[in-house]
Amino acid sequence: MVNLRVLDLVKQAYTYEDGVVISDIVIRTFHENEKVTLSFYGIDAIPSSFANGCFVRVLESFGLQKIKENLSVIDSTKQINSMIKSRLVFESQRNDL
Amino acid sequence: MALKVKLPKRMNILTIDHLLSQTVDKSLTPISDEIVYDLAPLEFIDPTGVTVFSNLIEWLLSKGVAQRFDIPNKNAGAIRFLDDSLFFEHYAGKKIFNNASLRSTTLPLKWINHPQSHLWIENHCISWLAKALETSKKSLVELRMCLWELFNNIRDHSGKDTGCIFVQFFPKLKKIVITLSDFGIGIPANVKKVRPELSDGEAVILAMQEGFTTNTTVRNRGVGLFYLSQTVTNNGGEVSIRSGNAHIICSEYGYSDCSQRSGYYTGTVFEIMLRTDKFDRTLADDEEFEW
Repeated sequence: MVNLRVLDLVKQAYTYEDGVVISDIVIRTFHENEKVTLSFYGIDAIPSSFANGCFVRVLESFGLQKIKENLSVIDSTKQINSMIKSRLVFESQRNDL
Repeated sequence: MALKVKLPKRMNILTIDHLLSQTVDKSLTPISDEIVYDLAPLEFIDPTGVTVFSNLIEWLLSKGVAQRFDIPNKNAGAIRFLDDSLFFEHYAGKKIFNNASLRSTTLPLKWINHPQSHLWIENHCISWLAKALETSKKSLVELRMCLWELFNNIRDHSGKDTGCIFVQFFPKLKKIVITLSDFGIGIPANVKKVRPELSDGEAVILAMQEGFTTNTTVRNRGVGLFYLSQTVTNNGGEVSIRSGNAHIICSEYGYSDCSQRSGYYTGTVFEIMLRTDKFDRTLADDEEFEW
């Protein structure tokens, strides 16, 4: 199990590129068959660009089922949860992932 | 010989093209290298008028156009408002009235580029409104989301990294108006790369649908404008977009295409109204993540 805290890795959870920093590590960890716990400690909300970089990239590599089974999100808020689920569900349906 | 440009009597989202059409042609070329703005007719200017006027001046400055103001009636309400917004201090080098000062309900005009935008949103805009509303910064998630999606959208689709933003709080009306303008490629021009048969209005409405993308960037995936409009409509607010020949208003009642009644706007201007009494203050509450 790999524990990641978003704000330890990026200054802000704002842009697509901020999200890519996180998803690069998640993708690498999934390739090693490890699970990830991702903490949003200190963050109230995220925009769609960050969610695309952080989660949709992982979805495109591994599909939704793998994410559900291997990625836990903690220290989260109502808005963050809603954004993550909305982005992943929509993109998985659109691209059959 | 300087080109004299008369401002409209009322300057708002409906009349801004009147000013643009006199100064910039459709191929984004300044019509003259010297412009005098005649402010005599101006009786009223709203936040969108201020934003677009400022965006125009900044853009023309970047093209080397000399500009000055002719203000015969300094006591007009619109002139006072511009002066209090520090508009003349910024563009003419000094205030008209010595006692002109920023109103507590106005966030000063800001010419902002994307890398600065996150800090500006957090440290200026959200802090200012939290103080004005006597609430916590945490409870203003919807405002944050709108601004984030706006700036990320400009960066992803306008071909520009910079926009001009102005925010005005109307305490009695319980609303906040955010206006953001850029002189980028415009939404219809982008959409028509893949859907050339659409009118400009139809193109903007399509750009606001979840998942429509022109694939110009992997960053946005066609959802930025969707989340912006969803956030605004959930709040009972309204977002108006003018871009090219399009003028679209999106509210909880759906879309209104007012393009037939509008002229041509070079670039894109967003006018967002949020209701401060309808903010969902629970959005930043802790919640356990579950599928």
